[in-house]
Amino acid sequence: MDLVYDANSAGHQSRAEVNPSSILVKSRGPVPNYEGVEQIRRPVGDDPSRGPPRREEPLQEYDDDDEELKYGAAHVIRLFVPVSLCLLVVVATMNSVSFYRTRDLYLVYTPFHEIDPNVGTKIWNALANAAILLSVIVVMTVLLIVLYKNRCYKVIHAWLIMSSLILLSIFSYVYIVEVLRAYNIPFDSITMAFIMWNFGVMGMIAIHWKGPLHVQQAYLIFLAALMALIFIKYLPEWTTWVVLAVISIWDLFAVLTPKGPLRILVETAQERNEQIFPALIYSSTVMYTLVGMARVDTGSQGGRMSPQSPSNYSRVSGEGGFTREWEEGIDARNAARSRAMDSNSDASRVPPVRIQDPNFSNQLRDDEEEKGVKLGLGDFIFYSVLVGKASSYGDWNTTVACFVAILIGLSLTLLLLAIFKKALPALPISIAFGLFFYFSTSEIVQPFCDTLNTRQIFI
Amino acid sequence: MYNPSILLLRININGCSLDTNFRNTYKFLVSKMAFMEFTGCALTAYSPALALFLFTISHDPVRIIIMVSSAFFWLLALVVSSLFWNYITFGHLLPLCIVFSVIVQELFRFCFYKLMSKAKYGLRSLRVPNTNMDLLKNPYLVPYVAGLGYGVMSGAFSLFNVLAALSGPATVGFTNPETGEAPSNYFAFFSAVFTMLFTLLHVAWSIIFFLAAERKMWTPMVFVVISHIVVSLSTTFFNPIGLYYVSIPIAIAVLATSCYWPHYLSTHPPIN
Repeated sequence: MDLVYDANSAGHQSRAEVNPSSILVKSRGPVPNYEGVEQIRRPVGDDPSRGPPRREEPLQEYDDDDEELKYGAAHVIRLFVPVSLCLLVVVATMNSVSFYRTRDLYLVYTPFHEIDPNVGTKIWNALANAAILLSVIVVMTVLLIVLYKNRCYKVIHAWLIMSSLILLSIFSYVYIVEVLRAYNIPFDSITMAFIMWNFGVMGMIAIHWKGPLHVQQAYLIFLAALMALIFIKYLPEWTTWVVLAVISIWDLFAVLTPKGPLRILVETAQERNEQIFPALIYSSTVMYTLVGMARVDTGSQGGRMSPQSPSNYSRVSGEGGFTREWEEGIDARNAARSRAMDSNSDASRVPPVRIQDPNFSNQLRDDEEEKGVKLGLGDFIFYSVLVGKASSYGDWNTTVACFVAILIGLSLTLLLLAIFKKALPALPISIAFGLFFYFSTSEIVQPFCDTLNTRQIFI
Repeated sequence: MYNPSILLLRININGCSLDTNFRNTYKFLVSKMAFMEFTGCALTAYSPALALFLFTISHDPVRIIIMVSSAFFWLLALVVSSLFWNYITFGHLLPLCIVFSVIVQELFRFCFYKLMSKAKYGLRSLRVPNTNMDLLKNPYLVPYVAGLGYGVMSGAFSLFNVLAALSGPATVGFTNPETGEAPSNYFAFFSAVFTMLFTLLHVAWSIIFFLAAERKMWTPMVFVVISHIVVSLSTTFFNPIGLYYVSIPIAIAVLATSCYWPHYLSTHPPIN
């Protein structure tokens, strides 16, 4: 749930690599290497295949900050697309499957069910529920940090794998059954078992081991959407709104204060030159990494350059907002990704030096992986909760307003990231905008728009 | 769906009651009309904007961001106008609210122009080779993208709920809230046409407005405000009583004029 400016995480190399990597994003200009060696230039943008790779030209001075602002735009879009897809899945499900709109069961963490019609009681219930849920999240976060500090990687991985398995099996089954029921589609158990098995196993492999980038991303988006739907279904009405507000405040605290757990997490990971819980993170970079690998090969310096990562800040999500299941998926996923990366690099005939030197390959992985755009699944989840909840009242204007508000919040957060270049929480701005536009649209704008629509008045 | 054997199969496999299946089948048959109306209206209203977006905006991240920001500004303008309608006129004096809303929209358009000129200045000072140069070189690009953002957001707010209602069973339109008359058969169609026209109008207005603001020419800016008020008021007065043949020509005439004006401005550069 935070944004990390990640220039220093990869040891001595990374500072120098800021330049090559950043220019690569927009890059039509020459790429200086940290050693002053000429290097291959690759156009990277939305479309990595646009334009042929060309050989180097002389070094050129340019301003670091400018580069960041510039490729920031491309990164914002790489986050817009997955966030929009996730919101789309949630909104479509909310509008077609009535299961997720009806409230019959509640989470254990929300013992007060807001049954009393009295507004005061409802507020009190919502606040108490949110406090309980938040304390669960805090405890889990602290537990995760403690485990991470003590290098109990196996425990964390087991935790992550277990929770993603539960989501991919049980909750996915419930989802599919409800969709089938909503559209009244008959389905036999054998086919269902076959599909579920393949879906679940493929998901586990793609998330925790290796798989094509798009498959991995699709699974991560689906998991986030599923988790958001679960929150929407099982949280009481007012509690949802209070939880959204409280979570974003917690995010702010956890990332920005000196003793905030997420900040500790980020700093520890940077000290250790490690990836920060990648399995809970949506990443857009691996593809560029792979493309880059082949190029690295042809370069004279072989593996030492790793020029291809498009950004030097990465957006990393800690788990401010994750429920315990969430905290899990992440770590394993990242490890898996790095493993996939290593094997891919093998495949592209990288000089042996790189493979033999564990320290080096570690650095390489950091550069490649951490410099992409990354958005925590927790952010996906709470954005989706907000928009899905807004759409559950049946007003499309509110949904659209919340959607635009969240996208704007995301852009502003990335803008701030480019300015401050330190870890930043991703939720507060977006959620604050989203909440503002939810309440203002549904209470104030909607009557006005209804009047205009029924009279066919256009403004 | 109509095949009885399939129905039978469903009953056997699903174990649902016969009644449920028949009801669902019936619902499907009825909703075919709604589906066709929905698709037709949605495409009428949004296909121009969609085509413009796909072919001119979607490939450039900076343009997408500008477009979303512009949409956000329209949203802010709408919130301000709604506040006026809710808390100052208390839901009465609709024409006054429309005029106020138009003025607020144009004010926010001006604010967005200011923001964009600042951002452009920033981009220019970056001196980054080959970056967003088309954005800096082509003076029509930012106004166009901003206008499309305005138009798309306005179009979304004008038609989404109508479309959602249309996709329900057998809805043709809404009864007139004042006279209680049944809606025209063409309610949905004309809503879609007006949405499309307003999307394009916002694009044209933005281009004129931004160019004029850049050159400090007041006439085109006043023209934008006045023509916006005229078109909106014509829909306010004529649409509820079904006089579409008055309001549509007005909108089309304004659209034509507004499209011609940027052309004129571009072929007659300022004298300095």
